[in-house]
Amino acid sequence: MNLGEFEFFVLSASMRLGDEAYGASVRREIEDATGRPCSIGALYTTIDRLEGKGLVQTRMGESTPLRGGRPKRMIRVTAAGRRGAAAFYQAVQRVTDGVAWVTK
Amino acid sequence: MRQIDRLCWWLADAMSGALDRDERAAVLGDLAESAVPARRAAREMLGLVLRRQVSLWAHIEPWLALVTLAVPSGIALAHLGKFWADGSAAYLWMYATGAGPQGLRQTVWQGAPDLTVLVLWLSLNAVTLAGWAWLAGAAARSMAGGAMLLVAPAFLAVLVLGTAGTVSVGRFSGSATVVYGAVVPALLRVCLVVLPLLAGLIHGGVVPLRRTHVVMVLAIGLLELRGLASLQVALSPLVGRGHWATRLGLAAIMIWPAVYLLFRPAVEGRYSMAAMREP
Repeated sequence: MNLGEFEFFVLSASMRLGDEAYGASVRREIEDATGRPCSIGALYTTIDRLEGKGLVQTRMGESTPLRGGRPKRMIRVTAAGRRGAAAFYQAVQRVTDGVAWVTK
Repeated sequence: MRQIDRLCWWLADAMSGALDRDERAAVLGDLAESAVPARRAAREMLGLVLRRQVSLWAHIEPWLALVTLAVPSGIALAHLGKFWADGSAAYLWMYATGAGPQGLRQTVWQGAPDLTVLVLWLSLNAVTLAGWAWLAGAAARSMAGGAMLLVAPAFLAVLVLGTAGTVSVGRFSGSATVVYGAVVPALLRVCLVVLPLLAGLIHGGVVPLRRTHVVMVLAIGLLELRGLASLQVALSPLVGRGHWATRLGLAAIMIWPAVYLLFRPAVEGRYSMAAMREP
């Protein structure tokens, strides 16, 4: 299963967050890790794409006052998602093996 | 909160209406939880809505709704609506001014004005136009789904611009020129075409399942065909007259919304005896 960079980020953030993975938390996780803004448009279309590939499953979760009483879209990474993310990470490791990144 | 922030949040909320219900709730909740600035919220909502629209237009249904419903039905409704609205206004003017037998010779009365015939003729035209416009809107909504955000404005644009450059059939004198030549036809077109079409586009997405719906759609579909001759006359400058293929094409344009609304649930296996039973 081919993954894109952003798909890998979403899968990794969702894995790290576990039961607390939902739109806003995944977005925070990606922004904190990459230092780049993560748009809701990119995030939600990517989640849909991953769901279409069978790499994540989503369901509507509970609502909180902080969210104005609106529900969360909870994300769970499937076994196929874990395998796909692992394969992507191993490919990155292989292709960067021995590369010196630090420049003067 | 500043006015501009209020406006941006209002825009974000309004744009979120284009998303499906669950996604709308989740995204608005995420924006509230993240406490993003109002401008960024509006920008991000716009980005998501645009992405969703682009992905919807990657499927064939919105294009079919545009090509088989919005454009042909829009042009046909525009011309038939104008033809009947102008004609109705002319007949009303003739009746109101007590036109003599000479002037009425070419009208539906063939002689002395008869209010019953006039009312019946106007009513049938009104029901035909309003029914067709509603069906066309409902079918477009059903076919295009979430892509209605673009299909609906396109349909309305075709409807409004479809008769651009054509001239009115009525010849009035004095103040009647404004009232019967412009105001009455415009009101009739808005009430009998634009409003029913909007109602269909907004509320008509639910395909008919119950017996009353099926009977209603069939009745409107059949009623439309009585307007075929008028439509052919109205569109004669564009498509010519008399050829059987033209007549067949126009009939197909007229009844396609009804056919689609009736057969889509059948194709999808959604008709059942239980669903057809009345509540």
